[in-house]
Amino acid sequence: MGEIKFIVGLTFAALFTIAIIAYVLNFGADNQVAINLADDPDLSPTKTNTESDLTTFTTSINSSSGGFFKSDVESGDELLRGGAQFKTGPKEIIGTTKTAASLGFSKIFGSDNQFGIILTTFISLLIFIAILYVWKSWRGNPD
Amino acid sequence: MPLYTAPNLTEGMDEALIGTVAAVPEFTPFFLLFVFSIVLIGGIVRQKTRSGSPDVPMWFSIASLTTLAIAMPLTFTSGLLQLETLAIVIAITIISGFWLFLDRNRNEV
Repeated sequence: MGEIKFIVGLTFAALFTIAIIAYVLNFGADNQVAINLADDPDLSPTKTNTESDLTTFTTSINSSSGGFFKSDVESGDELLRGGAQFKTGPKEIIGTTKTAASLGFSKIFGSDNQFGIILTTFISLLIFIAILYVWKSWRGNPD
Repeated sequence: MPLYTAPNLTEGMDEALIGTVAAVPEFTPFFLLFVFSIVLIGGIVRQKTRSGSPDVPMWFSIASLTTLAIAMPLTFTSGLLQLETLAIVIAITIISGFWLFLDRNRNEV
């Protein structure tokens, strides 16, 4: 797995999250079901927050790609000095993972802080992996 | 002494199920767990027999989506499914999606 597959996986997972929640919400609205997921206090905010994170991700990608396509390299220049093009994706998309993981965590384990270290460790691990992938794409294989 | 009050079977299948769930609230969650386990274990064992190595994240996702598809019609009538159970099914489905898409192996989807 490289940075491309990592970002694609996180993006597809975020879109999958929005699709599942939207499907169940619309299923309930269309069929006027007795047990409506819209009554759950956590699901709708999760969908909204994930959509907001993806919008931020799209805006950042557009901004960095615009700068990249307008850039040029003079002879002898040091290439991609800031590495912004590689840093944009992982930094923005991990927020969607945190939102969806928080939902799953609260629904399965409850809101007890005793298990909070699981979610914190998982997000930290993803950020650590993202840093290594960015470095690998930017400068080569990390030692 | 009976374990629970038998439902009235003369008012239709749905009323019998609602009566059963009222007497045994764990009926629906364990039914969904049964469906999830059948799809998960059956798929893993069958694929392992066929190709040698099972794709666990893919079968976990398929089992989750199957359970969600069966849970959705249960929301039409009150008394069959609790909102908390439906929320847990959706949470597991979302987690299965993350596992599938972040899986490093080349899967069949």
